[in-house]
Amino acid sequence: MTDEARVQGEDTKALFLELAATRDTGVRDRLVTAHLGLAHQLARRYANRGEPYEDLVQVASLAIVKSVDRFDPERGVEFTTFATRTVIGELKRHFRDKGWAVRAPRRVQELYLELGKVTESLSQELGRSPTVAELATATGASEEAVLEALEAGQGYRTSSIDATDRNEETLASHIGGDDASMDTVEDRELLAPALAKLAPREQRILQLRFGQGLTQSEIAARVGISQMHVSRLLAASLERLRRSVTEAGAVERR
Amino acid sequence: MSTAGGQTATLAVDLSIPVQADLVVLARLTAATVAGRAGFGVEDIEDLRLAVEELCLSLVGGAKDGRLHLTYECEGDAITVACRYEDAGTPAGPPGQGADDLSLRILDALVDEHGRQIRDGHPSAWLCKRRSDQPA
Amino acid sequence: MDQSFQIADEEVNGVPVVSATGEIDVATAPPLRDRLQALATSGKSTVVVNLLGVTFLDSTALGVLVGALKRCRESGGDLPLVITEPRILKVFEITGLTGVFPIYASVDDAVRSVA
Repeated sequence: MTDEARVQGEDTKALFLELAATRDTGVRDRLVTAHLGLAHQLARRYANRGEPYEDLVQVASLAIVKSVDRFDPERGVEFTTFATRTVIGELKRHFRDKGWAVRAPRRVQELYLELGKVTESLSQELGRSPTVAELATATGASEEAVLEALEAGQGYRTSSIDATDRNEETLASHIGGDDASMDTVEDRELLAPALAKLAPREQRILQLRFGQGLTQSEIAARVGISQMHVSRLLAASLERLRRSVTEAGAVERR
Repeated sequence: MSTAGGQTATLAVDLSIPVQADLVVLARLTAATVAGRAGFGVEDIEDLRLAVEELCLSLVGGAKDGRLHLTYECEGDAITVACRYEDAGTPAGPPGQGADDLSLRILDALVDEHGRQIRDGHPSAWLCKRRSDQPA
Repeated sequence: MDQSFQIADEEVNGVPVVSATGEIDVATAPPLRDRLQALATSGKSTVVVNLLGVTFLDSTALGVLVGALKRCRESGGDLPLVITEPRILKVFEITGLTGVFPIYASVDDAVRSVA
């Protein structure tokens, strides 16, 4: 451990003791701010699973606030370890809620949704996280299918090993009309230049809709336009994409 | 697949995968399958899966080739995963140094124990996760 | 737990306004969550949350507000907040939530934005 890190560690501990004694929001905010870097690092680490980086940063930042609120400096665990665990927990939950749906075939999606509900009720009933075998029994699916659905639920990490862009795939599946039709490398390559031709706001709206699964009214609130307007822009952008992809595809395949 | 949880016999699985697009999924799925067999809860399984991924990626660093050799051992309520990276002969220094602070921190958060060393000249790392709640 | 925590609702120009005062933390957040949930269940997709009298807000409270915001937006509504106290605003800024919640300086401004 470097001197600097050690000093920081002592500072952190002192701040936590002060926070416990005074409940001063200024102290809390200083602790949160000091650890936002960790939130950003972790968000970046899990950014390639089909969820926008900015959303992950927000989930992770809130988790840092939660960590600061819940941390007990007397328990002998490093704050950063505790915070990392909390942030990963919240990111997992976030992915479970939305980051998974795109690639999985519908049957896996449905099982996954059901697993979410069953996991919650079984967890309450049992007072612990259910096993794969218990989930299989409760849903009537095989253990293998349960594992498959859980894997789909985590999305996947691209990082240095795999660098495909899930947002494009998502969109591709919508432009193609059904899930499989656009799911080839060739078609994804066609989509990127088509997407780049759209205005930044249109790109952003598509990203919010398909990358992030927001509703039209949510997008309206984010972008600051009416829901009707969002609806029109979405329809027009999709139509333009469809046209340029079809044209490019025709040229390519000649 | 057997539905018996809480087996006490040792279960050992070896896996060797090339370092290329999205094959880490195999490392994750194997971990999940072994843990599922051992009666781990889904929360533990998710943690283990993320940890195995982190273990692999921390060894591979930015390398695009070579192989990862993984062994999974389940004994009682603990699963140990060991991973060794063998590069494809490109003498570009050990990529195992991709184990940055964040990787170590993530592993600290997800598993009970972990470590790394150079074994037979190859960067290696291992982790151990215990079942955190005993199924009835 | 702060004894002074209180929650009140009223309607201003047909818009439900929930006003909280005191400290909102893990102990006092549940009534706020229940109140917001009850309004959502009764079909109110937009609710103004007045935090002018709040002196402390912890992560549970933030979670309650974010959860309520999601529900409101899913049903086509919104959850504008009323905050002026810099100490309270700060945590929204740090966590990037100022870009997510519409935040107003007075209940009237918030109501006007959605009425």
